[in-house]
Amino acid sequence: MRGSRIIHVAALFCLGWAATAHAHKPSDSYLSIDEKATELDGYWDIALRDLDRTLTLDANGDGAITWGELHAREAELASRTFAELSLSRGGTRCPVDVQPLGIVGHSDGRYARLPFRARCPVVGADFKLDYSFFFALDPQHRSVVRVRAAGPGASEQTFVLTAQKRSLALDLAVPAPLGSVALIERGVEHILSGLDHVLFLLALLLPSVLRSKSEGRTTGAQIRSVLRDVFKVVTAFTVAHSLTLGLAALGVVSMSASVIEPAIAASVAIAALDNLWPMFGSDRWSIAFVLGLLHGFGFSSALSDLGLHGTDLLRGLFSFNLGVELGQLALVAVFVPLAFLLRKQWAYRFVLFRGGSLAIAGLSLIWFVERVRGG
Amino acid sequence: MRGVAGRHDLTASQEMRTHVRSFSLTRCVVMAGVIARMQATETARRPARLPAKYALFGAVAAVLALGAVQQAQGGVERPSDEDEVLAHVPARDDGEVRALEQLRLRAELAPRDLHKALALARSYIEASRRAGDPRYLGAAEAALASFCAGPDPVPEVRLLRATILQSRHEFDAALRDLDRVVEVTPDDAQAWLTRATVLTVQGKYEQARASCSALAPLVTATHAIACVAPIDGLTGRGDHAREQLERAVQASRSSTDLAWLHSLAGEQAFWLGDPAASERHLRAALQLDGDDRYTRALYADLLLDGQRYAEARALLSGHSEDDALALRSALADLAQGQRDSMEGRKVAQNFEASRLRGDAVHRREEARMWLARGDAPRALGCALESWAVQREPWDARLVLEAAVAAGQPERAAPVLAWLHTTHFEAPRLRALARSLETRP
Repeated sequence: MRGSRIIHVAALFCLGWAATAHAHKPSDSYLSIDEKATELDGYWDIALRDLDRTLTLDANGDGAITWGELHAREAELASRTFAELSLSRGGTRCPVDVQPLGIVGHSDGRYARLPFRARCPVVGADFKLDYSFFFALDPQHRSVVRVRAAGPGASEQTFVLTAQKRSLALDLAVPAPLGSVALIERGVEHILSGLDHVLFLLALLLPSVLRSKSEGRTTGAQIRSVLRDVFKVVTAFTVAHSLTLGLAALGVVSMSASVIEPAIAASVAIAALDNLWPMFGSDRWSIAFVLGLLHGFGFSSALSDLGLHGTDLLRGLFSFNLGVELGQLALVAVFVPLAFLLRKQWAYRFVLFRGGSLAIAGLSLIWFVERVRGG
Repeated sequence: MRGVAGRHDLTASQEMRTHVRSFSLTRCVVMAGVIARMQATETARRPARLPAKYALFGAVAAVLALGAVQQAQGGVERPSDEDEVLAHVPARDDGEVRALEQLRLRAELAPRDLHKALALARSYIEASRRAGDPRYLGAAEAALASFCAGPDPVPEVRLLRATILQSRHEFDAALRDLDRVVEVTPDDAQAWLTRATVLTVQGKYEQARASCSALAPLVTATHAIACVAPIDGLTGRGDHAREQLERAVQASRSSTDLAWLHSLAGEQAFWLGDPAASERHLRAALQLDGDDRYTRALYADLLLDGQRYAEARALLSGHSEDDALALRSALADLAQGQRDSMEGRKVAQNFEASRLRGDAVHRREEARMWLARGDAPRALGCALESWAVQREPWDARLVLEAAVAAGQPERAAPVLAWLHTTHFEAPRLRALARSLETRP
């Protein structure tokens, strides 16, 4: 059978070599899972090309998948895909609630991002993930799974699921419920370690021991007016951030971290710059209030990390907030007397006040740029 | 909130479908606040201060609104335009796509029909070659899946499986299949040819030659030469190989054969240090078969070696979806001082994605990239990893170049030994070897 059996010899020959560096990419999906105490939050990125093979998204066959074609099939898509994914803890499956999907880009094209939240009835330490999506259509499909356990500073682990290895079993330590004291400590820790919050407070307090006679702040103020000033500013900040912390923690209002973080940095800059070029008048409590609203949202993520619910949440919120206030109080109690004693010194007026405000402004503007970029 | 990108703090309530383009708007809004108060600086008169304060309140309100809206979307981007195209897939009116779809349906309707499955798998493999897309190989594998079960799949299935395996660099597994195919059907020319090429890649030249000898009586003289010429080229009989190929080119009438022969001849000339002849052949090959990515990549390498960067880019333009070709584009950019070109970033992203999923097929390309970026130790590591799996001239060259650049001659020992035993006559490699051997 000379020759007739050679089917595109040249083609196949070249295939072997050309394939040493593939164009495009083999099929992958990306799963990200964040553990909160009783919940698993995450998203699943699936390539549109792969979804098209599962569902034929290109309804009119013109070779282009449009947004309209995609979100018309959204519900079906969600149920078909999540039927192949199973999350469980303590041996019990966690029901999954799929959120509206979005579009993201990866190195080989656009993917559908399906955010989800799973509420696990049993909070066992043994976490199991079973995955069977797409292997029937492509045995080379893989899923890159990132799991982040609960608790501050928890590390991230990455796994790869394949047609040969379709499940993942992990031990997620069950965080012990935190007592009130521990929660208060958390609050103290959070504000004192949050440099942006600390600097904001300092920027607000720096001018309080000075008094503006005409323009600018040049002379030292009286103790009574200092205390009144500090009291108004600190109370305004406290009320504002407690308000938004409470609203966010209780789920009444929800803020995107990617909007709030840069805004917090900007608020620090604004407070610092106002020290150098006063714009908002000498009564700064309203500024402290309005900008403090932003900071409250900033605090709420530390609380939401704990995944508390119901009365636990209320108790936690109260204790955490108390901790934040205690931390703040400590800061004020250290700084204000010191500033008051130094208020007439040249070093205070120029180095600490002007120089310090400038430094704070510069630093916070750097943060602003970084945070807007997504760093 | 110290957030990780993509984290959500979800609320049960809203499900607004307003689309907001994120950061530029945030920046604008906050900047508006900043600018508003900057404008109210100099005069500290009471009335002038009020607008600044209210501008700030407005800015904060806008930020909070934006944050709430963004959060309601679950932090993902939802396009607003129904007609926005998100991805391209093969169009249904494309002839090839229709043919593929027909084959797929026929195979689906008759799951136990071997021939339909084989036809489908072959078509997928061909599609993969043309598009340079490994996803089709996965589809081919799926088409064959039910026939691969059991201890001894039929030769036709094994042959296709071997083709898929060797494209993933699983050479030993491919050989197991190929050995069985030639055992059962010793007159399967394709199997002998594929076997010869896999053995050549693994550096098992005598066995490869034996495969070509078994192939010879089954095919035309041209195909027999095409099988053995690369092996001759690698084992010190380069001139003989070139002669044979030239003669075969003269004698051939078939354009597919000619494309193949020209490509082989071009590759020989490339390594034997004759860029003019190499260029002649590679251009001829590409003219006959513009889809041949391997030849295109080789021609690009020739141009890069000759520092003809503009021509290289012209050759590669329009082929940026192919990783191998995108890499060469990136190398052209790097050579001209563009350290952060779009191609370069795309290539780096692809390597990263490949690493994430646990694939190791890109080691050679990674080595080239790191070498071009000046990270010789890393390049050497990748090159040696590639050498562990395949013994091709490019892998040898990269090990040598990286070893020279990194000042670690001892690590190039395996390649030096290989050069010594094979008598491969590539002038560039010999020069590199000499410079490594003369180091203290």
